[in-house]
Amino acid sequence: MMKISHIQIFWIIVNMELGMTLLMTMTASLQAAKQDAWISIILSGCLALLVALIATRLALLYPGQTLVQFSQTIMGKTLGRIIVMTYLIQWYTIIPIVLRQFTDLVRALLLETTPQMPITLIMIALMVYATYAGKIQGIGRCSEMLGPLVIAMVLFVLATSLPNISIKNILPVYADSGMMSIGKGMLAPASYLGHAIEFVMLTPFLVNAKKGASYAIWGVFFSVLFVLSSMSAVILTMGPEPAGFMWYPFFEMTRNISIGFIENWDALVVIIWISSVFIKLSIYMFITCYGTAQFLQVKNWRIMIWLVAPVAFLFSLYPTSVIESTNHYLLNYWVPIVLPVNMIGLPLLMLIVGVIKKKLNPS
Amino acid sequence: MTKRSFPLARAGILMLYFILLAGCWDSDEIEQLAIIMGSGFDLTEDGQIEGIVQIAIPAGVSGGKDNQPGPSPQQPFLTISDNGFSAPEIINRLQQQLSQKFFLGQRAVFVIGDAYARAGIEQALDWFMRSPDSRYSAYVLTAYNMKAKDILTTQYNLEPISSIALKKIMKGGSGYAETMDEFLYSVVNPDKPTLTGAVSLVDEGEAGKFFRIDRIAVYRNKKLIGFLNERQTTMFSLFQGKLKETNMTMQVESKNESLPGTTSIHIFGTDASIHTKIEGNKPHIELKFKAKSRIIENLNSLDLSKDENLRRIEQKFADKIEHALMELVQVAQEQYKVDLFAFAEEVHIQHPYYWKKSKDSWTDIFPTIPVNYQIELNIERIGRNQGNIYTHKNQNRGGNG
Amino acid sequence: MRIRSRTKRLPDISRKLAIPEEQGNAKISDRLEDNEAALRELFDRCADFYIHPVYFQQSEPGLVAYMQGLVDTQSLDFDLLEPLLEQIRQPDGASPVIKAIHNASFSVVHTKTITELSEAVRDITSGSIVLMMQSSNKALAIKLQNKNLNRAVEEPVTEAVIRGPHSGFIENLNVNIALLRVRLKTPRLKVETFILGDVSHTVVAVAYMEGIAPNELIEEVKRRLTQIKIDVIFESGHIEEIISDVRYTPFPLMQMSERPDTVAALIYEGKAAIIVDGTPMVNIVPATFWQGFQIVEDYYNKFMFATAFRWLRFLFALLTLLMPSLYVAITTFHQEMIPTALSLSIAAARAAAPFPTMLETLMMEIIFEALREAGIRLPTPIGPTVSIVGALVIGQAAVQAGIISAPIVIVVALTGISSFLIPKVNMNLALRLLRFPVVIMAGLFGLFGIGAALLALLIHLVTLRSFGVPYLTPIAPFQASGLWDVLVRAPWWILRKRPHQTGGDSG
Repeated sequence: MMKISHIQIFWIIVNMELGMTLLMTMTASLQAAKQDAWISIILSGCLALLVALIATRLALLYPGQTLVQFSQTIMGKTLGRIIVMTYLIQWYTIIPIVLRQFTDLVRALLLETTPQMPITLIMIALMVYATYAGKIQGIGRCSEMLGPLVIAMVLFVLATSLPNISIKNILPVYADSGMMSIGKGMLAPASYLGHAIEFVMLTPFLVNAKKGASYAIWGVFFSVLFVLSSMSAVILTMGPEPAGFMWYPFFEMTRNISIGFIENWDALVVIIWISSVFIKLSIYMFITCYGTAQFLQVKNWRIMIWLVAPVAFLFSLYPTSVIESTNHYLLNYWVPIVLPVNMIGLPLLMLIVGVIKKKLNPS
Repeated sequence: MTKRSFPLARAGILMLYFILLAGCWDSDEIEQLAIIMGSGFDLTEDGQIEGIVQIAIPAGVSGGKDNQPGPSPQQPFLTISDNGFSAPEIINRLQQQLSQKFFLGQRAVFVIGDAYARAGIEQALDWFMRSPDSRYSAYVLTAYNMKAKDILTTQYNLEPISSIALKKIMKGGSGYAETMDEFLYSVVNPDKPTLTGAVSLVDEGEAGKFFRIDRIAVYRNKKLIGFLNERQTTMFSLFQGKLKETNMTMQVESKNESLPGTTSIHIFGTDASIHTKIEGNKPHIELKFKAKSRIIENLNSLDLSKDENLRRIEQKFADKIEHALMELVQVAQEQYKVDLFAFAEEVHIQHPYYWKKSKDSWTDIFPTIPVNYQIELNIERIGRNQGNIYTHKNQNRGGNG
Repeated sequence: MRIRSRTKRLPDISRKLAIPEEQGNAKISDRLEDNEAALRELFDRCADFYIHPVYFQQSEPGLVAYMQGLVDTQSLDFDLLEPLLEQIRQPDGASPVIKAIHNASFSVVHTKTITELSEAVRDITSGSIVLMMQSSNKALAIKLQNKNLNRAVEEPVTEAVIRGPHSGFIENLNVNIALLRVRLKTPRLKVETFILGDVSHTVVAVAYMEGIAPNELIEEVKRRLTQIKIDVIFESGHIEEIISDVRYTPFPLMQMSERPDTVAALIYEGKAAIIVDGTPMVNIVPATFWQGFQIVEDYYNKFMFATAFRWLRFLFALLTLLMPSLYVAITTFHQEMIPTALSLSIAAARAAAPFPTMLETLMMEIIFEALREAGIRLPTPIGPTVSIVGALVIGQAAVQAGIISAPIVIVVALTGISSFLIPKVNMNLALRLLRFPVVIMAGLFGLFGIGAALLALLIHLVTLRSFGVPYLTPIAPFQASGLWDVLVRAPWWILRKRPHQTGGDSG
């Protein structure tokens, strides 16, 4: 039996949200909202909390079922399966994209001339190993070990960046950007912080679903807090102009750190950050395999690993450049479709229908 | 158990397979690297760029294998250069001469030659921004009235590698220190002036040549347009907080036969701020400067235990600082037309909506901005003597006789 | 606590060398000659087998059979046979001598009545004297073990302490159990024995505290022990490998100790000790990863020192695993991380090095392991000499000859020293072995390779269980109360409130 505790779900959520949000969404947000990007983060944090709230309410309607099951319980067989399809598309596309973004970053910052394949393969091997041997509780325990490490890394970066801070970088507040720009800057982080939606696949494994739900929301809050402080630190140390030009502002900030002999240690930060990506990918791997197995009514979900892993690998080779993997997917699919539909629209719809159904049919 | 471990074994074989197929793509043995300690750009007569790199010779620095203390027979660094039209091209050509691979990860300084800087530094900048190799903690310097090559080929006798000497001078706080990241951000940020320290050589004869970073190079539109002189540099650094403390001397009394009439103070604990207000659609600037000080030399007849004398000295020094600031503002507004104090940033922050309207015409507005000064200087301590040793002696002698 | 029973059967690794059935099942005959003949045939060509008749006054003749070295012959002669020959005079019933001895005379000696020949054989081979009488189909096995076979209770070599008792287990099960009983003087300390090994007939005891150790744990231990099919058990390591939860792992899933105080403390915490006759090494289950870095002295020293030393051990355990790989990764991939002065020194030292860093590191680490192995195997007077010669030759001459660079000697030496800080031998072995794959990954992918290797290691660690307890408890799964004895060694007044049993299945 696969079980995860509420502390583990907390760290799973933190790992899933923090790592990729720090990496992928800062530039988009900075370009749109300039020095007010931190306001965007606050707004997107509120949106993410809303997503988490909807997701947990929805999941708690049928705590013994995953999304694949309860969507059919709530919406009926056909409609439910269509809904599940939209999520499957989301999961099957996010794995290769995250893999690719991860590989791009490693190649940009650590291993410039190493080809893409071995890096991707190492990560896939780790994901497969974690999902196959560790299953969900193994991933849960890994995130329990790695989560504090990632947080410690972010805290270390923030603390060591303090000497580089200049308050003038974040001023003037609001005047330069305005509501529209801030709103625009909110979308990308919100779409990544909304990953708490995956909670709907994890409820059946929770020892205590109710407690797990509240811890998941705390996890979102916690990650928003850290994304917010990291974003503020980026703005305060570098200012919106140079940061907006950079692919990975957070890591550029770590390159500025120079305290005693601690200089140019950004490689270490990247390595620790990788563990957060590893958790995210493994959770997605598990969800995708488990979801597909339930969708196709395959008994042994672990067989699906041998399907999902090659698919993820092949698709991760598809984008031809950093721009494609980073911007196109984010701005053309994730923000306009996943955020409004998969993260807010469908869960809200299912929640409303489910609640009404339960009221009418108290049995 | 066997069934369970089977896929893992397969994964392991797969891993081994590609590991064996692949090599170590990015690994470089440390002794195979040409560790570049400093680099620079100059302009040649025919308009090409001359790239200069100073490469450390590890054996020359740490005495090599024998680990014998004392000066090593080998020289600790060598400097090579080549011409080309772009930075990557020069790097390529330099690489062709070298048995080792270029490695910029330990670079301490980047020196911009005077002529190159005046012609424009865009090329170098873009290359820095893109190259993952370039490190932000390196310092940027402009060579004052000379070539970068002159700086980088100089042997500095207190340190084996002259680039490290430059780095240590700036880290120690003497000299205007601008790191690579500050430099790059100032170029990108339209509100900020682009400045670097300016280095010159001092010939001390027998002792060899020494570096002195006592000027500031002023850039406008990515082109060097001039330097602040020593006095201006000190005042500017003090105002910006880059210089934490300094000494200042001035004539308090007229010189007489026994005393030169000067007083010297040590200034510390500075606090500067820029206030703006918009009056009649025009910004007005007020520069505020507060500092603490103590008297370190008093070569005049003033009795420092008397309060009014202290006030007088304070006032005199405050006036001097005000004049120095005025001079700086004048240089900025009239001579270089460069927003040295980043008035633009202050107006932007304090009056964002006014800034929105007028930022395009800022270059026209800036030279005409009226500036007020408010200087506060407190003498906190006067040292261990109340007055002046000479004057006391004189009085005593007079009393006896 | 719930223990997942192993679904797979334990492997049968016996070679079917047991005594053939027909002989084993034979009953002891009431004709003395038949018994003698049967025994002589079974123990044919066993030079140490001794059988001879005894003649008691006013009684039928008897027969004693035993293995010479195993039996305390002096006691046999003076304490058993001599008084017997004098005292017994009442010929009454079938086996008066046997009855008499069993009932009264030798209450201090461990005796038992046996009826089957196979039993007699087993008792003879395990050091009993078998006494048979004419016209009796019962025999008496009298335990009179040769005490000279036991060494004295000495300071354990593998787990020396500065503060704490200096007695260690020995090769005798009874003595070992007694050493435990001395420390836990309560009938709640239960010791259940099993005879395992078709050839060795080794006595294996499971010791635990009733009421503290969870029943599921004890049942599972007993279940796994009884399932063992093996010919010989000479050492606890024999069964450790068989009954571990996960077999393909370098990590110790049972804690090994030869210190009675350690074992008693762990039994008191609610764990089960598996004691094997013939070895001083006792296995304690369940074990967690963190136990590999705890020593019993932690609990004798003040908590501040104990905590500090524990952290020192964690730090150097990490260095054992990572020091060589970090050196490889940083000097060949991330040279910008090294402070300038140091990077120049390393570059200067390596200037003439003929081998790439990774190869050099692997080579030197292997040579170091070889030196260590050589030092252990050689007799004490030679061992240190080999180490010194090796260190001199490799440390000094090889560097001067330009075969290797000086920094690597420092790295290898530091790694070696670090590994000595890991108190548990089997944890030490695991980390030392694992540093080699990490070095290879570091040589291929730099810090990224190290990160990937550590992630793989972490995944492996979280999938491990020791008798149902997740290996990384109480960090993952997280148990706040357990942290007081892992990250720190909290003072006793805090530690005492801690629940005794670690583990649980909450994820």
